[in-house]
Amino acid sequence: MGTVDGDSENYSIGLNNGARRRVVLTGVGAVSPAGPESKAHLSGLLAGRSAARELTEDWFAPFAKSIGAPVDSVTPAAGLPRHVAYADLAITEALAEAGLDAEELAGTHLVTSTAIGASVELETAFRDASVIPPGWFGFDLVTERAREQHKVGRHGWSMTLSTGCTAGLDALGTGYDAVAAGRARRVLVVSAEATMCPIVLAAFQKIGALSNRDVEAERASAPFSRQRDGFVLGEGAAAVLLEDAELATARGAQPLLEVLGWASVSSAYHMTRIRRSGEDIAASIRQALDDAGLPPDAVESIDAHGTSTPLNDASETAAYHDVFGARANRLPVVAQKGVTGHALGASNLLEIAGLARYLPGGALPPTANTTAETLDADLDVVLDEPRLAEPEIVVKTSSGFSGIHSAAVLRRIS
Amino acid sequence: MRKPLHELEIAAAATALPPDGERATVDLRRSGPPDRGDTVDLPAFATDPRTDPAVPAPLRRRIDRFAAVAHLAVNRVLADLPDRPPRERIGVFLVNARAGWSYGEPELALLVDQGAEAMHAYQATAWFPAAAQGEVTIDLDLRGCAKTTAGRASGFAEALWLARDALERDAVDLALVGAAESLVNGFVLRDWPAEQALPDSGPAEGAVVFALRRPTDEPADHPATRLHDLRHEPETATPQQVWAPTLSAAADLYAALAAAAPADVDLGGGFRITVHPRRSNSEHGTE
Repeated sequence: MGTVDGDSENYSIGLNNGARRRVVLTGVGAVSPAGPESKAHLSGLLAGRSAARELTEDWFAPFAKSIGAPVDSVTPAAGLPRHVAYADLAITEALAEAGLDAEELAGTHLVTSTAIGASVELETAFRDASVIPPGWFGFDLVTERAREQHKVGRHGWSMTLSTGCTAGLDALGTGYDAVAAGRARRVLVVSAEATMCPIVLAAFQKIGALSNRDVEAERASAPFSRQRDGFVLGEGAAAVLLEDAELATARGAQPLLEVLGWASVSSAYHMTRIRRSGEDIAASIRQALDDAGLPPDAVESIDAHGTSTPLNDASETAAYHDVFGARANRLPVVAQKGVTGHALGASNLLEIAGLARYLPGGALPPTANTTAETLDADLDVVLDEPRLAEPEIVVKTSSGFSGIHSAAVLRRIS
Repeated sequence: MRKPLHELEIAAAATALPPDGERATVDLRRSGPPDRGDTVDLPAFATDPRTDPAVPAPLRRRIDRFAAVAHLAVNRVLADLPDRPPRERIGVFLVNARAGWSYGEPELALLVDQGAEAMHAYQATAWFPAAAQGEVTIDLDLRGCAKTTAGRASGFAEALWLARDALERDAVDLALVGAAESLVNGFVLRDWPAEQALPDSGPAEGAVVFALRRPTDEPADHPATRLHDLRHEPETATPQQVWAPTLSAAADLYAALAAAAPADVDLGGGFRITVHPRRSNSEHGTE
């Protein structure tokens, strides 16, 4: 297996990359149910401690079952939708780490994403007939906030993606494309979601997507466990600064991860279901590897979508065996949603933020609530406690409503 | 292999827009903006587009109006493209900037009035912006990269941008790019505060879709219209007093296809693109 160091045999500028610019992450921020910044997020992941709880707020009282993994550590300022408040903190953290000056901030472009926008606030306004500020029906409030509050992107373009539960990874890919093609020097990618309201809970309960088994809330999300029966709603935000690697090096920035390629396909199968064969997930991984110019044998670890639904986890397992063959059950698999629940469109970028924190530390986080006894996949899912490992090439997968399957290939930077 | 693209060829284009002067009456009494009366008339389809015979019957009860108009426009584009690449090489890139409240608001009312049990399961798949993308790709078995953008001013340009990216990285050979919006519901009209006049131009519902591909060496008797230089010039951004800026931008581009001379089109949010119309045979040197 070759290496991807810039000075040695080099996959990332090899077979299929043409004249592409190299793209690195130089700033990361995260707000998750595990905490209001990425170190707390990492601590929660490494502890394998689920952040789910009973939702006891009044408007959930009519529900027979209401559990979720809310961001309890953040109280939004008045007049700020919850998902924007989460994004605010994630952006602050990412930009502080990146260390850009005012001019660099102004010229940075923005790609934001959310699947459900200000749903919490819109439901509140529907119920109490209160005034809805202009723009709150839209999905680009985070972009506006980034420009006004953080002075980022004021001279740049912005994109807003709303592709359901793959939105975070799709936003990362969009930012990557821009920097790799030389159309942007820097792109701040932000994904944010606030989900804790009855319309969202009810919508997912109606289709049987949520865990309904009779266990404590913190045990409900169990990716790849035979006891799994659905996901737990999560929420939060992540922000990552993508930067041209040469530029980052020139200004002395410390890269955290390199993005090597990505891809996304449509299953054309069903709005909510996944083919059990995993063929569509496999196609997204193969295309992402092809985009990165890497063979499957180069991959050393997988950060899974891992929702804890019976179908998703089985389909992912099939896909990994399809792509990686005999190596599939020897690749460490991380499933972060055991801790965080499923933050819909923000989930994948939160998981990228998690990767950017756990990979440099040399420890892969365990999958909450799944044990060797309950494991229901012929995979090497990281269980029980952090595993010391330093995989260099990692595949990140995600799947979402509308039959979208996206994957990215990332490189740990030593 | 990624290859930069500086121009895109338009293989076909189609619309599903209400005829000039057609209006839909929206009931504002349950959840609409206060101080605007009981009803308002919008430039939208008077008859619910979900009932159009071209929308497959199984879809009608499970989708929003914006997904229905997307379906209509995409089908019309594909009808003009008998020779298409394999399904895995066709991508769909749509903007929807305000989601689907003609489906979502009645469900919210059911939740509040009768409880979660009264809601329909399709709320989870009908309301969100990517619903149209999903329903179209599933119904037509299109398996390439598909994405939904949502920028209120620039969302159509964003969809074009993502389509161009997908063509550049060789993920698709044909990209169906467009806008699909519907504001035919009282609740979403609360996006305009009482002190602000409602827009008086542009459609409040409809879809416009283009089929784009890499430039080909087209035969001289079928010269193609091309789009050049998708770019961002922030200083040119101007607020738009139209119902659905993304839909109006797509409609403006559609109108520009008929121009005899190159035309620069404002796509919203500072994005612009230049349309080069079909070249005459003399320009190809065939006369």
